Amino acid sequence: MPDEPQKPVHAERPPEVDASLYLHPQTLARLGSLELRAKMIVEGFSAGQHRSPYKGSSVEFAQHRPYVPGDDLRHLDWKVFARTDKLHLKQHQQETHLDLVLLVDSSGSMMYGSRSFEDASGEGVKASPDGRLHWSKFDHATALAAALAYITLRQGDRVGLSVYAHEIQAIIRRSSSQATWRQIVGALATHPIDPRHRGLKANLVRVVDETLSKVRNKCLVAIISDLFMDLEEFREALARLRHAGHDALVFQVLDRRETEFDFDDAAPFEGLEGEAALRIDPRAIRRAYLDVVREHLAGVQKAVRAMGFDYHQLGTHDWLGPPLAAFVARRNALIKRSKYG
Amino acid sequence: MSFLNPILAAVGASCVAVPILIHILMRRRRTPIAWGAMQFLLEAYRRQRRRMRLEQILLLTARCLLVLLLALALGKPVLGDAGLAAGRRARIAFLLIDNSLTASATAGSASEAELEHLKARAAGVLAGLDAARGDRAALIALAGPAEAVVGAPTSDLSGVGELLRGLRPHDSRADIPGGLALVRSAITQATREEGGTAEVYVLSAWREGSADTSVAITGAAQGTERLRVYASEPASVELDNTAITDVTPLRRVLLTGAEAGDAVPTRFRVSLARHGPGVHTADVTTLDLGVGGAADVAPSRTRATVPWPVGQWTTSAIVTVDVPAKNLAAGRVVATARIDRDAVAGDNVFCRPLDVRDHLRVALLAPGSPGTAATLAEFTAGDWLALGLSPDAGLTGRRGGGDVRLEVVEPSRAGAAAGLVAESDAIVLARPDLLDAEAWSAVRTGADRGALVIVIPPPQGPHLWPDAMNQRLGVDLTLAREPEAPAAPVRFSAQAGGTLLESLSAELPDLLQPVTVTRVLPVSGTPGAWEPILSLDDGRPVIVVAQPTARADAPRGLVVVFAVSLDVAWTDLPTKPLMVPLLQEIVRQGVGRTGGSGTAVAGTPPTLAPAAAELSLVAGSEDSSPGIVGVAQGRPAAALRDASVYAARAASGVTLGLLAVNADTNGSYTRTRSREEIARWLAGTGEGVRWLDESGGASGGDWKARTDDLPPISTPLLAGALLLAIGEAFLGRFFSHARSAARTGGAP
Repeated sequence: MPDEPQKPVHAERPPEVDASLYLHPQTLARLGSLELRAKMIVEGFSAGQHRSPYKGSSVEFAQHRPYVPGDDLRHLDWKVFARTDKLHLKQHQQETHLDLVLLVDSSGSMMYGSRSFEDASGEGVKASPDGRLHWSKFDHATALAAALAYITLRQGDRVGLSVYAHEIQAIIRRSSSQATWRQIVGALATHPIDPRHRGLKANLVRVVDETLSKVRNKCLVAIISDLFMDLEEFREALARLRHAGHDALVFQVLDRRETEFDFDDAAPFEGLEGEAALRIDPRAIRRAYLDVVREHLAGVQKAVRAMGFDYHQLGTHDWLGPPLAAFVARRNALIKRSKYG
Repeated sequence: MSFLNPILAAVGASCVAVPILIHILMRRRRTPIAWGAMQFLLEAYRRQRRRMRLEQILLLTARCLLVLLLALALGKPVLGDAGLAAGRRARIAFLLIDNSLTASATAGSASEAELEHLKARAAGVLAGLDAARGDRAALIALAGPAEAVVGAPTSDLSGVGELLRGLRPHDSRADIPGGLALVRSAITQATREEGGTAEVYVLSAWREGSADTSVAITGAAQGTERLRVYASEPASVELDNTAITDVTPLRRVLLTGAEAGDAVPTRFRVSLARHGPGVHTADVTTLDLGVGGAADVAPSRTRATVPWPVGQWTTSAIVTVDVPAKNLAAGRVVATARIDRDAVAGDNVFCRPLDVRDHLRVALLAPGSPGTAATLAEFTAGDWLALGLSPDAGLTGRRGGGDVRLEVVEPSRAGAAAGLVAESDAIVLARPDLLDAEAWSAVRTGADRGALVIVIPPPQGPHLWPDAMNQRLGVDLTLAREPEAPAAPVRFSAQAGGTLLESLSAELPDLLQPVTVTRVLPVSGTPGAWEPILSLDDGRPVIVVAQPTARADAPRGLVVVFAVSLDVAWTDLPTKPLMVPLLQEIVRQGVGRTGGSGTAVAGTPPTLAPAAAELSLVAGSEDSSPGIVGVAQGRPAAALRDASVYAARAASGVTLGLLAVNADTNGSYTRTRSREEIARWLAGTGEGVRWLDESGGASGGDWKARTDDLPPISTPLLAGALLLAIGEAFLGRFFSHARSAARTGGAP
């Protein structure tokens, strides 16, 4: 059942934590009027808007919503316009099913963040429920995951979630029920980075293998991670997804300081994944560090595009809205070109 | 290398640890940064590890070196004994010790003389020398005239030290220019032959009495490559000191003739001077004046008090001593004035020898039979002179009695009576125009023996005799050939010049008042060659005395020349009451001044009678004064630096007179001089003055003095530190990549 997007999420019965921390109203306002469409035709239980191999499924009217600039004019309800002189879009429900599997990285490196929690949450909350004062990459990843899940559930598609580090820490089975949203948010909120696993690196290959063993149909797999891993391992994980016929979206979440490394004072750097501490003058090593980071990012992008998947880089200092909106719009364009072209 | 400030250098050097400590403390203090992208950081570090380590080592080294250079510069390093001992040049130390009168000054009766401090400081300098390395020392005593105790630098440093300890203060003034002149001659010999660094240590308290800055110092550094002049610090405390500057009898010769009774009253003018802070207060000095003669007779003594008004620093007093006749039997007596002991003891005593005569022998070279003229119109100059010199002859009928025994010699026979003329105490030339060469020669002989010569112009001209007088007597007077006759008779000026008529000063105006002059020979000549005794109202001199020091060939005796003839056609002087006292005073005072006895200032060579062959010590310490001093050409062969009394003897052993050597009271000025004054004065040596450490001990002060002159390398070190600081700033900027980091953007 579709939920009521007009109502604020935090007005619902709250899960274990306030979901608004992860899905800011501003983000939803930008995303609520957009549709998430799969790049590829996926199997669905009902025929719909998506070009589906399963013929005969009817189209069920869902609701009207106000027109916003950028919406397809073909979906305008001209009758409503004739009666009320207002532009509304006619939306249909479950034109086809899209299974979205969210893989959220909770390894030690995702704990890093240089942005204050108060600034990132946008609601004046100074600390996270577990007492952190900074907005970590994991916080940003969970916000993105929640946003994707929410949008997907609004379309009636199924969403599943895996929170992983060296192995899967928590899993929510795919479902299109609105209760799934709460489960997902709950899982994201209640499975933070486990300090006991701080010395362990993310093992994406193992996680992909475990995920693939649990899905039978074609899925859209969204990997949300900083991808601080070996490039070969990353390529192998993507290759396994590609081999299984799944589509993948790679969201690389990075902190601004990780890409700029604008430290001035010499200080010891301690790795969040068990690496040895290193005492250096950051200004002296900045150029070399940025070269290494640049090489790694280029390698990630190259690997993603080599598999035909989409890559998007997010900064923890950026709002989720603009990059997600641009990403979804670009996906829609690809779908339409595939459908009509 | 050694340091002038070793403690500062050590502290500074220990500061080298500061950059290292800062580095360590900074490492400890920093809060670790939990970092997610550690794999990239490790990879970057792996790539940059060698370069970063090299940069860190370079920066740390530069900073440590910078601190070290600054520390070394602050420590004032010098390339001295310790570091470059093998290459060190031999040192030649000239020790100039001020052992003059002021060096004997003491701040109190219990304190040491300043000389002892100076000797201790000099001993410290000696201790810093090393004979094994070729160091040598010379010792020069500065009591005037400066004396080279060890003139040629010697490596026998212990011997020099022994002589140094034996130095004692003298009564003469310091002769620092003379000491430096001795150094100059010694330096040119020593350093040119063997090389080395010449160090001149001038050790003095630098009181005004020692440092006469009006005397220029000539360069002592000529011909030397390396010369350093060190000076001890000037004394900072002024001392109160009173000195007897002179004791002068109002009559130079004590006559024990017919008029003398049991005691001869003798008047003395005693002059005193005082210095120091006490000048600004009123004070009284008690004076003890005694006149002694025969050793077995106690001297006659008189005590007097001399008051000092506030601000007055010189004064004089007339003191009368009744000298018993029996005390005068020795023929010569010594008047000794004493005051209480003060800061400088040497100038608290003053001796004045006096000649004692039964009578004065006067040779009157005049034609005819002076004194026999029947009428006033027949009186010649000889008559007037005979009457004036022996006024009682006419009454007593004996010319040979009284204090003045007159012998009349015919000018044309003066050569034949040369012995009589030459041995007279005074020779009066009533007709100089009548003297032949032999007569002039006899007169010259007498003058050389110290006789007073009085020359009276003849009444008739032209006056050609002054040429012979100038030539024979070694005077430089120009008298006109013809007299000038003023339109009206001219009176005398009431003022008398010189000191010959000092005893008449009270009565002189009254005596001069009725005297007029109608003719006078104008007198001229080289300025300073003569001095007027009496002058006319219009300024023309009437009686002049030739200065005996004006010419090298001047005789020892005084020459008094009248510009008027003793003739009523020239002046009515012979007929006036002035005539007798005038002649008597001129003779008595003139003879006393040129007698065989006299005084001398310590350190200044006296002029003795040509017949004197030696000086024999009569009073004084043989430890300080030589017992016998030879005399050559009227000058003692050895310097007389101490107060003492000598008898001048002829080769035959006859005593010619006494010579009292008194302390040089110019050398007992106790006012202090500033460093700047001394430095300015000593700058005449051609070298800057370096000051010895006030501590002046055997090690610290002297070591400092030695090292201070060595090549200073503080400035190069500071320059190096500055360059290093600039380099470090560039290195730090470059190695920190601050600029490159600012230009470099982040990863996409």
